[in-house]
Amino acid sequence: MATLAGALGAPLAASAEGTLTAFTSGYRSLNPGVQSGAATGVPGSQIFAGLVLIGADYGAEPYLATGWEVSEDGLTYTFRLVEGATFHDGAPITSADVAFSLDVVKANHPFGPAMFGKVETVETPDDLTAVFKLSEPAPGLLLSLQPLLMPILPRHVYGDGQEVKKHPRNMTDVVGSGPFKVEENNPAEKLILVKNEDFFIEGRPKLDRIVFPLVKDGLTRMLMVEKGEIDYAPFSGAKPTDAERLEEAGGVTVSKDGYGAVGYIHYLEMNLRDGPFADVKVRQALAMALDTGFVARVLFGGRAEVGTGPLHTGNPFYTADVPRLEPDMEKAAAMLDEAGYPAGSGGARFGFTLDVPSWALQSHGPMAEYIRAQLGKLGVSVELRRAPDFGTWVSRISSFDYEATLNGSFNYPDPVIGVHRHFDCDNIRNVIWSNTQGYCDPAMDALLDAAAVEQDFDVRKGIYAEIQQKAVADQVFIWMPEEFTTTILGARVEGAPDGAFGPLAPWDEMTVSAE
Amino acid sequence: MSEPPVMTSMPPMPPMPVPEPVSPARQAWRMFRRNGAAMIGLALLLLVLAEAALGPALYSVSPDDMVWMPLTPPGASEYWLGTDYVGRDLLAGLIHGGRVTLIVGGSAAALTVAIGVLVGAFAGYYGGRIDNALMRVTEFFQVLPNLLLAMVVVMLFGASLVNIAIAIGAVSWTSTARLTRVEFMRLREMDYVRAERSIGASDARLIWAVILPNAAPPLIVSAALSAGTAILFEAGLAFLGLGDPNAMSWGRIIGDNRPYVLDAWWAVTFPGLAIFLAVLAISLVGDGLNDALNPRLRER
Repeated sequence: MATLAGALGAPLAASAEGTLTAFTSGYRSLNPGVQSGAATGVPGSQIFAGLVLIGADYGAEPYLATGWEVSEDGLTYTFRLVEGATFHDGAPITSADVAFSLDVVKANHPFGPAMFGKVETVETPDDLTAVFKLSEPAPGLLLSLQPLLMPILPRHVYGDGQEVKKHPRNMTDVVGSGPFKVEENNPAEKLILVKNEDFFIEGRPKLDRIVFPLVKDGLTRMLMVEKGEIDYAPFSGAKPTDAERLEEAGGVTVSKDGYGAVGYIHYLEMNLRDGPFADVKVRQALAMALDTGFVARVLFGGRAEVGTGPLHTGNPFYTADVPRLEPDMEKAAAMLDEAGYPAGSGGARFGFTLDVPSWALQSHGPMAEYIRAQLGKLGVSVELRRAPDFGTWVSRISSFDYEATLNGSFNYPDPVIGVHRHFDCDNIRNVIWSNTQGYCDPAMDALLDAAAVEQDFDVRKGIYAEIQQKAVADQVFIWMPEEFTTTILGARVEGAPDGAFGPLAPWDEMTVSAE
Repeated sequence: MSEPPVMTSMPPMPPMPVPEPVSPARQAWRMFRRNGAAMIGLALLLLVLAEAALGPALYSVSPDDMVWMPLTPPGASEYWLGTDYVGRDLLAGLIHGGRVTLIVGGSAAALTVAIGVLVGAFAGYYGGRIDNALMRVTEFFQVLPNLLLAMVVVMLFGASLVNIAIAIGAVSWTSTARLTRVEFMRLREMDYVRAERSIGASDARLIWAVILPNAAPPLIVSAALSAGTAILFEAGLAFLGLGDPNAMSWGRIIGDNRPYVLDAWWAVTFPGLAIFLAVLAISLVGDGLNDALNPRLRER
C-alpha cells in the first residue's frame, strides 16, 4: 500500500524513512571533475563513482575498480573494473570512460596537472581494463582516484566536443555513475537525489532519497539543525560556540572526523615582493607577536587545532617538529628594531593593509580582529580591508595587488596537490591559491621535486618534514589555527562515511531511522 | 411695568498691554516646549550627543582591545555590558561607536540636505525644462532601491566612513529635493518675492536670500528626520558587513555579532537599543520641530 502511494507521488510519512536531509550552500556545477570545492564535491561524490575509495588509514579500497596492480618501477597501474556497472542512463561503464574522465580532469580541474600531470596515457586493452602509463612515479596517485577528485564521467555525454568545464550537462540531465541519481536540480532552492537501483554494489545505497535544501546563511543552518530539519550537515559551518551549544542541548553529534584528507588550514599570507615583508626578520617578528595558541584557545574555544606549518595536523606526512617561534612581544619588538623598523613617534613602526576574504568569515573575522589589536600593541598599524565578494578578493590576491591577506587552503591527502602549489618557484602565477606571495628558493624546489617522486613512504615523510621545517624557518606564511571543520549528525543518522575523505565519499551505507 | 433701566457703567478700560515683539525662533521654542514628547526627545538627543562627545574621554577602555573572554554575559565581569565575540568590551564599543555612528549619520544627513536643496531649489525656482530635467533625475534615483544602491556604491569604492556617508547621502536626497521644489514653486509667486524681483534682485539673491529662508521650516524638519534615516542606513550597511572594518560603530557591532546571536543576546541587543533610542530621539525632535515651525498649528 505504502509503495503504491509512494509510486503515485504522495509524500507519505512512511516513505520519509529513507530520506536524508542535508543542505547545500550553493553550487554552480554538479561535476566535481571540473569544479573543485565542497559545495560541488558533496553531492558530486554521490552522483559519480571513482575507481577507488580511501579508508581512514589513507589506504585505497576497491570501488569501481575491483583490483589493481602497480608495476615495480611505479610507472604502470593496471585497474580491473567491476563487471556490469552502468551509468544512470543504462550505458555500460567501460575503460574508455575511465580514460576519457582522466583526460577531462587533467585538463579542467584546478589540480588536474598536479594530480595527473605524470599520467601520459591510459590504455584500454579491453572494456574492463584500464592501464595508466606514467612518465615518473606518482606516489599519491591512488589518493586522487576517488570520486571527488576523479569522478568517472560518461564519455557518450561529455565527449560531444563541447567544453566540459561549461558543459550544460554538468547541471541539467546529469548522467552519473554513482549510488545516487539526480531527480530534481534547482540550485536556487534544492537538489534532490534518489537511489540508483542499478548501482554496481549489491544492496546499496540504503537511502531512498537525499534532499539538499539551499541554506546559505550559517545562522539559519544552525537553527535548522537544532530543530531537526537537517539530519546530516557536512561542512556544517558550525562555530565553536555553536558546537558547544548543540552538545549541551544533546540530540546531535558534532564530529571533527573525516576532514584529514581535505586538510583545511589557515594562514596569514604576506606579499613577499617588497616592503617590510620582504625581510624574513619582520615576518618572524610578527610571528612572535601573534600568539596563535591564544587564538585557538580563546577565540575558537579550544576546538581548533593550532596550525604549525604548511601541512594539516591530520595529514599523514605532518610533523610537529618545526622551528616554531614562541610568542614573545619583547623579542618581536627587538627584532623589528633590528630590521630597521624602530618605534617612531607614538610607538608607530609601520603599517599595512590586511585583506579579509569574504569566505570563511567565521574564522577570518576573529583572526583579523586579533591581528589588528595585537600588532597595534607592537606599533604596527593594521588597516582591515574587507572584500565585498569572493571575486574582488580573488582578483586582488591573484594580481599580487595586496600587502597581506588572511587566507586558507586545502592540503588534499597528497601534499603534491595542495601544498606544493604554495612553495614552488614555477607556480608564481596569477591564479588564486598558487604561490601568490612570491616565495622562491631553489633549495625548496629541490625538496619538493624529490618528495613528488619518492615511493618509499618513510623516506618521503622525511622529505616532507624537511619541507615543513624550511617553510617555517623561512616564515613563508604565519600559520593560524586550522579551520574548525565539522559534520553535524542527527540522532537518526547511521552509517556515515568514515574514511579520510569523510563526507566527500559516497553515502551509500547511510540510513535514517524512523523517529 | 417699566423697569428701571439698569445702568451699566463701563469702567475705564485699562490700556491693552502691548505684546512684546516675539522673534519667530522664540515663538517656535514656546510651541516646542509645550510638546511633552518633543521635550523627551530633546533630552534624549542631548544625552546621546553628550555621550558621543564626552564618553570616549571619560571611559578609557579601548573598543578594539580584547580584554576578557569572548561572549561574557553582562554583569559577569568588570565589563558591565559583557564582551563581544572576540572579547572586546561592549560598553567601550557602544561609547566609541556612538560617535562614529552619529558623525556618519550627521554628515550623511548634511549631504542629503545639500544635494536635495540644490536640486529642489533650481527645479522649483526656474521651472520649465530645468525642472523637467532635474525631476527626471530625481525620479531616476527615487525608483532605485536605496539600500541596494548604497551597497553598490560602498562595494565599488570601498567601505571607508567617508564613502559610507557619501553613499547614504547620494541615495536619500530625493524627498528633500521634492519638498524644496514644492516650497520654491509656492513661494516664488509670493508678493514679497515679486517685489524683490521687480527692484532687480538677481536669481541667486532671490533663491538663497529671499525664498530659501522662508522655505526653511519644513526643510529643517526634513533634515532632522533624514539624520535618523541616515543612522539606520549606516547600521543597515554595517549589519550587512559593509561597514568600515576599522571604525567601531553601532551597526558594525550588531553585524559582527549577529552570527553569535544564539549565544550572546547582549552583543546585538545593546547596540540595537542605542540605535533605537538615538533614532527615536531624532524623530521626536523632528516632530516637535514640525509642529513648532508650522504657522498653521501655532494657533492651537
